[in-house]
Amino acid sequence: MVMTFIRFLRAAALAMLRGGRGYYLWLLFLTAWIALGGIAYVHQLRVGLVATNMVDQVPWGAYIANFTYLVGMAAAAVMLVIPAYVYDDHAVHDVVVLGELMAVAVLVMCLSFVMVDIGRPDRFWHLIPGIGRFNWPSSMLSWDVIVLNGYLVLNLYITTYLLFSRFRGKPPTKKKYVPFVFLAIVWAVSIHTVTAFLYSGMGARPHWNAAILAPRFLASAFAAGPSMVIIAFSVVRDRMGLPIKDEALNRLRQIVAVTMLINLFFFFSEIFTELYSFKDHAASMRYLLFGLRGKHLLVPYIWGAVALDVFAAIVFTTRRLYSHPEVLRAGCAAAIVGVWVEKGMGLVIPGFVPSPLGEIVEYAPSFTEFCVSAAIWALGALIYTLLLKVAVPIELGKLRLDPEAAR
Amino acid sequence: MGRLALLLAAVGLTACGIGDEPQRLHTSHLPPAPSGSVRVEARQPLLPTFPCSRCHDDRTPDPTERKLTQFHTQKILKHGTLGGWCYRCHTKDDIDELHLSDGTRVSFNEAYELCGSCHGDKFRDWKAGIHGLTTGFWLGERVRRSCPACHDPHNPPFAPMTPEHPPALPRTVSSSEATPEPEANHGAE
Amino acid sequence: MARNEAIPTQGERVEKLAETRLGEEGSRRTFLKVLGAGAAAVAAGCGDTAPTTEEFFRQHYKKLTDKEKQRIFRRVEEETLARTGVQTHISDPPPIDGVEFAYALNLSVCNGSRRCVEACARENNLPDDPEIRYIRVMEMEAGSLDFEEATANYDHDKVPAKDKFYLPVQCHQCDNPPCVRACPVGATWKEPDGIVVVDYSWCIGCRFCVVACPYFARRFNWTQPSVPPERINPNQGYLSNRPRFKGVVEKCTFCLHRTRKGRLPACLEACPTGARKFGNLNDPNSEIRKIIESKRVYVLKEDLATLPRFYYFFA
Repeated sequence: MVMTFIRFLRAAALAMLRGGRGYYLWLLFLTAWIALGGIAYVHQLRVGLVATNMVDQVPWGAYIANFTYLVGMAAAAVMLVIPAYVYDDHAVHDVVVLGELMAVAVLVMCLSFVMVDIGRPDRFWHLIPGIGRFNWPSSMLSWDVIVLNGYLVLNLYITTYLLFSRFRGKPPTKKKYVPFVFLAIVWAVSIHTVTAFLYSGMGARPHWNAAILAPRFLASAFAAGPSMVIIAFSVVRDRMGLPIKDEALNRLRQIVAVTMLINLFFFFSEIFTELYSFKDHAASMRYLLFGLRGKHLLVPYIWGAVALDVFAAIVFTTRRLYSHPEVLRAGCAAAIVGVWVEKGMGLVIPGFVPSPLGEIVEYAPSFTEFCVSAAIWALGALIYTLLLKVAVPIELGKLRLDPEAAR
Repeated sequence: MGRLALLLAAVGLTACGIGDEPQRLHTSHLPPAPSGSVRVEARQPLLPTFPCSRCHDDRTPDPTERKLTQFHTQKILKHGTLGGWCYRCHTKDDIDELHLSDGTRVSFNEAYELCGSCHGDKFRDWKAGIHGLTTGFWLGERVRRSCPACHDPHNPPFAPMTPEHPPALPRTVSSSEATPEPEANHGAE
Repeated sequence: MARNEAIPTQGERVEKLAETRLGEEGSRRTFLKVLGAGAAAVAAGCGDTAPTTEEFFRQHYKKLTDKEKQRIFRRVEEETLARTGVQTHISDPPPIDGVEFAYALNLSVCNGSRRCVEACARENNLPDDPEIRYIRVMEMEAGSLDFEEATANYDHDKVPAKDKFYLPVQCHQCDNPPCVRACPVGATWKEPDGIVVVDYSWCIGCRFCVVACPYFARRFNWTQPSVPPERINPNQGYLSNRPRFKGVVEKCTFCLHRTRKGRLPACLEACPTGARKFGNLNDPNSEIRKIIESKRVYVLKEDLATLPRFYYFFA
């Protein structure tokens, strides 16, 4: 069994190396970004976080904004798991493992964003329960560490088990993975809920201190995540020849149509509650939407995001539009970018503006932050590409333990 | 099942301290540590021209109100509605001492008694350590400044000061951005 | 720069440490060692601000024995001497039994001179570039407590300015501190005398506490802080004004290296108007008790239930 697994890993590694010129150019492109970001990160390690544009008034920036967004991406894998396992949707069931692999890649990105954000990465072992000193249960960040790593382990286990079974040519034993799949459903909701609680539990920051935050996080995640999956699946179908059924993509499209509308509704509810009551605590929302005391860096940004969200919602609900694959993909891209803005920087930064003492300090990422962030996105894309390079041939039956059985 | 979930939720919330009333620290059962003694800073050693008798012994006191042209030309009395002349507080017959309105002599070191004879509320606060500057030890000897250390009795308001430099601007903010335009209609949006 | 010969270099320290560690069994040590090797590799890329191996392995403050603490204090003193030529003395006064500190500030007399800000900076070895200050004096509009109309950046020739009053803000040493709850690694905690402290050698620099603080009291070392040798205050507390380093959070500690030895905080002594009052809340004869009992005191952002130990009053 162990030997078989080693052979599985070796076959997987070999599969990752197999590819045409386009594949290698893509890998080179991603690696170049990662290298650039690596240089930027070493610079940041040397001089400190002064290399970023974060300051005491705005202590979190692009890194945590991306982290927050990506946690939602990771959670969105359940939008495949639920139809597949709860509603026995066979079209989705065929591809659910690809969605879970995306969760793995995205989780690596999440953890990377946290690592680059902390001032003392050399002390990360302080976070390891048992060795370090874990402030659990009172710190929401300690919960986040548990749920994120737990979710990573769950998804790694499920995907490895399923792919390994197929590799061996044996049907997977339900008892060995279905309970974990259901656990992963709950867990996926938890990772994004806990991440939302990180913000909403903070009395010091009225902009985040709202009960709508966790539901809004989930709604936006379940809009942006499946959109990303739709795009990824289209690429896998066109480029890698995996016959993904239209029903699967259609199911995802239906999900986004609903979640995007819910997301917009939640956002609107929040805007209304904050602004109609004229309260002082709405200063952050006013800054975000209209600017405050002559500072309005985020205004075009957030209205752009709302426009993208609305565009996506229209595309996903109008048959004449979504029936064109190109328009659908444009809608997906709009949902991905719109939510990225609205839930990333659009949520994190206004929490700090104005500061608890009423100061207005605006924030835009520095070049270092841009490079490091881009590198982590490239890293995620690289990991997902490599994982697909293994998973797709296995799913197609081309990669088998017994070469005879391979079609 | 439902009950179990409820129980788990309750245990979880309790473990997180959610639902508890925020608690003050409670160490008041321990014996309080004594706060130590207070010494009022003596004024006389700080007065450059003290003792006054050094010069005044050679002169005859002139109780008529007039503009001083030879000595103490800076000492223009601007003490609220307090009118009168030097000898309202300084003692004509013993220039090294002050006196209260009832004639009780007080030394410059006890000038606070004189101030306190009018400013009762501030005097009470000062005696309790609420008003005025105290330095040294909270546990051990404290030194308390007397009223004239901060308030010139002839012109008592605390003198305006040049402040230390403002905090450095966040490095991402240029100085031109530092003074935001005042919002025309603040709070009325 | 004069480098003391008696101080082992980093390489020697690694060797020495390896010797002592090799003798010890246990997966934990082995695990840490593996981490240490990795860290050494990272350290090579980080230049002189990287942690020493001993610093890297250091346990949480609360787990240190007295002997370990003494060794660490001496090491930090040696490092400061080697780096700056200044002989410092690090102490670690414990909380005094029966003492609960509180602070009160008289808004009627504060004139916004910022003397407290600078005295604090000197006392606590705060760097000027990049500038870190624990106290922020807010210039408020008369008749308003709205921070949105306040500024910390006033720059008048003379203070107080007309129709303004001044409200200095620093760490409120809350009894229900959101920062302590936020910290994922327990690097900041509340001491029995009410002071919230930070273990600078345990903080991972996630800045969750900075985000959680409603009083803008916590400061992050965005880069390596440096204080010119002539400005170093040699009287240092391990949990207060000892040398800090980049990537960690710090804050006001009510000058615990002074106050736990009975002295008053530096900001208080520097105040020209006597607006600042400090003492033991448990002592019925203390000034602070008299203020709280006889004056109308209030705390900032009371609705957040942080239970500050920093009171404001008008008298």
